[in-house]
Amino acid sequence: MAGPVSPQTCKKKLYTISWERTLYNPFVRKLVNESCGAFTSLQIKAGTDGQISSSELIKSSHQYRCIMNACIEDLNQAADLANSVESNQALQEMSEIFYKAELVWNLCEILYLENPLGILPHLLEWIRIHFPNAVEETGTVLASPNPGLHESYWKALYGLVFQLRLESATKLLRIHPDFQSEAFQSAYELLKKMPVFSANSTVSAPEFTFRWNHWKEECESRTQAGDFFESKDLELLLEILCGKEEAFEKVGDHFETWYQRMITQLTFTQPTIGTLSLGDEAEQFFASLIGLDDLTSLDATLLAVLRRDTRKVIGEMQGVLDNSWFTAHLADLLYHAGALQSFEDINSLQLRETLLRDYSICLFSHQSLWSVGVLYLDHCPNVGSATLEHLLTRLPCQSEMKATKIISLAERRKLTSVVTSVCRVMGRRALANRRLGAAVAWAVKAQDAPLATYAADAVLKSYLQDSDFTSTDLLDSLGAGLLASDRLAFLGKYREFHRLYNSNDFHSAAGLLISLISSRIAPKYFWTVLLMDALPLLETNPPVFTSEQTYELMQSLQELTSSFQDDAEINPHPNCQLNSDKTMLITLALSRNLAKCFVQQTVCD
Amino acid sequence: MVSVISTVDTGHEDMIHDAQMDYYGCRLATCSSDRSVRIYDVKNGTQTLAADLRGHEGPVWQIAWAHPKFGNILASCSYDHKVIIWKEMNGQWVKFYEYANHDSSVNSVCWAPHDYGLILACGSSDGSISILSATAAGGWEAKKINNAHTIGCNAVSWAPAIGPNAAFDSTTGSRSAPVKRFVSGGCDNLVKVWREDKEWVEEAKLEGHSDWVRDAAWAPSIGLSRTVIASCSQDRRVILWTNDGVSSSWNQRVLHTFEDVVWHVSWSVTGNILAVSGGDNKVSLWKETVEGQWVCISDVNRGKGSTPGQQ
Repeated sequence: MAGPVSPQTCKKKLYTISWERTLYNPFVRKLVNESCGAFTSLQIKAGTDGQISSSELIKSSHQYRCIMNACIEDLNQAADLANSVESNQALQEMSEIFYKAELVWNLCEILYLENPLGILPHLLEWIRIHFPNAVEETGTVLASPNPGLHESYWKALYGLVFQLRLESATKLLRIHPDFQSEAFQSAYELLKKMPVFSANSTVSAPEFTFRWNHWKEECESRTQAGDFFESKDLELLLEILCGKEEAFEKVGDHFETWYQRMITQLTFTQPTIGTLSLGDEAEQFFASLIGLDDLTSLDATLLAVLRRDTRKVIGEMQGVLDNSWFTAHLADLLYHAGALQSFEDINSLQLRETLLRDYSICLFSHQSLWSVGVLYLDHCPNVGSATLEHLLTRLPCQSEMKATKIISLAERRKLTSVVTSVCRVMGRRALANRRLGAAVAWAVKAQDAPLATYAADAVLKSYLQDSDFTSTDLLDSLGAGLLASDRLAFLGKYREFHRLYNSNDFHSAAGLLISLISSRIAPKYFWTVLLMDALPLLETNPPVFTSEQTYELMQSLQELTSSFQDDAEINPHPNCQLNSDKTMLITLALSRNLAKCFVQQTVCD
Repeated sequence: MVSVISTVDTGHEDMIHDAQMDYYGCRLATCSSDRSVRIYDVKNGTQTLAADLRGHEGPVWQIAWAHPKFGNILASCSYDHKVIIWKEMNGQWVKFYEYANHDSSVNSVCWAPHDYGLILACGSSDGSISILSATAAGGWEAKKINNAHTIGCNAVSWAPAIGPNAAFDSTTGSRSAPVKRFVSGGCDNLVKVWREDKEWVEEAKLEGHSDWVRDAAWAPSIGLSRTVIASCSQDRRVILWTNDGVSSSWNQRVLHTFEDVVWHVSWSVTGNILAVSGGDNKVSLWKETVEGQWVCISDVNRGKGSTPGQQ
């Protein structure tokens, strides 16, 4: 662009930039392909009316999470095998990102898809899945020669209790050397008796609360009675069971994350907490434990999920991830669950469509993932088709196979402009590479008359050059396609003439030749060739040309000699040039044939 | 989020003014003050020089690839008052046509949508815009809009061939013939929309910039009724002009006021991302959120005063 430029400019370099690279990683490839399968089967289940049961949605959600977990596994394996520190780090980072994504997805699944009654058991399950350390720790303790006296014994026990793995906890308690003491027996009994709230239980929430309060009172009264005086560790266990804030302060370092601790604390303080109060509870908890100034994007996302603020969840995830895989699939799932409705000004369909489209565009930027992208655009009712039209025509078709693939995808979606455009480009390329038969075929498919004429002329010229038709089988299979242009139709007929002639069907060949000239379908530059083709037929006895047909040929010869330069080229091929020798030869043959015709007629008469 | 995936050492001997990927993103063309146009084959992130086109006698400002259905054709424009159309024939790049009917520097070239045939718009510092059309006989025909922009025209960009309402018109059966339109920007601080109505007429005059308009880009249509034009200016602003496809009025909205002059605006293939480059040596990418807000999704700052041109 004209204008002043800064003097210190670095002049010679260009930079190619890109983003959303994660999805192009070979180890993430499976995730892209498999999630597409999950996505399409979800759309089929939802059908056109979008009705789908929540159990089906949960099944889909599980499927997505399995895919993510498999991807994490693959990335971790690849990281272990990586041959450089950088690639190991990059793979680990990616795995980390998918871990977080799966964590958020799982929480979304609970909050949006599961039964909102009795949310806490689900949340605890979420913690159990993502923080298996309590079980691992127990394993280490049990594997040691003297588990009851292992230094991590209590940590392991508390860990099991935090996740309400009560059966394991009581088992662990039993192997303590002091298990037979009164204090241990009492604690053991209380643990065994602990009422556990589950989403599927037949016990109603008020009834559960009643039982739970009763149990808690018993825990407190036994503690006050000094049942556990002899063991600090048991005392702490009881304080935890009673949901005492101070107890959690003491074991604060047993928790890796705030949400792990929050859910444990809620389990022992408000086990029947409802979904509606969860958001506020979480925010307060976070503010007092960590402080809102230190909010990471993962924290912000989790808080948003707990508050069921869909817009924020999607916004945050867009910021965290370098690709739109997550937001597209999650938004689609939430859309089907009716959970995208919480937006004021934009309708949920529009939001889903935008996110699906973004994801698809990202796939289209990759040399082979683009075909997956097509399937997502099919579910964008407003802009999908137009976007696909743009993207498909922009795909470089290096091979006929790819062109055919693009065309069939476009045809199935009635994107005729894409079909035409691809065929034209392929036709032109075939012409440039002198693959004339293919050029004709592409031109026919594109229904591009000028290109078809151009290609047919090229075939005729190459025939003049080599006295042979190249790629004839391709030409012969065109059938009705030959009608794409007059020149092409002529080419087809001229081929037929050769066939008839070669099979000694001279009468039909002669008839066809005449019709080619008289109908003016033959380009004038080719007339000389046709007249020369007529020569051997004129020499036959009895004659194959009737006297009328012979007159027809004479007339065209006349026309040629009088106004030859009509559409003549600057440098016509010698075969197309009508010189005096040829004129003589043809004239002679014509008169001889006419004579034979008269003789024959006279005989017949 | 954005990473540099490769660096191309172009070998140009002076400042690069434009870089354009071809229709498929398989070839890259660059032009420079060193009077040359260079073409690279791009494969797996690496570029190899395929041609070095010499023919201009001054800095080459802009280049434009024609649609591949016409073969491999590239147009370039220069300070030397000329527009050159280059064509690859049997593997060799040759001068296909040279247009020298401007009285001053030609600043911008843009090919019309391929549906119209091979048509090129050229904007010049002489204030006029030329529209060159390839004829059936193999020649070229030129139409000229004189005094399109006082002091000079800096940018031209064609509207997509599919009318804004095409997606919803399918019920009416016959698609009305699309109207040829393009937008231009100039030193009169104006952005103008032109329509072909036998002759080229000024359809809209968009007043919003307070200094020279450096570039204007018509967004690709994706089936929605709305049509969008982005323009940028010496006044450091990028303005988005929207038309609802029904009325004749254009609504303006400032995308952002930048730290320095804004040189270029360029849309992605599907029109969902706008790339902006400016005198502060930065390229930024902008995307419309679902709420209709335009947000910067990335900043690329390659320091050292370079102005990478991307598409």
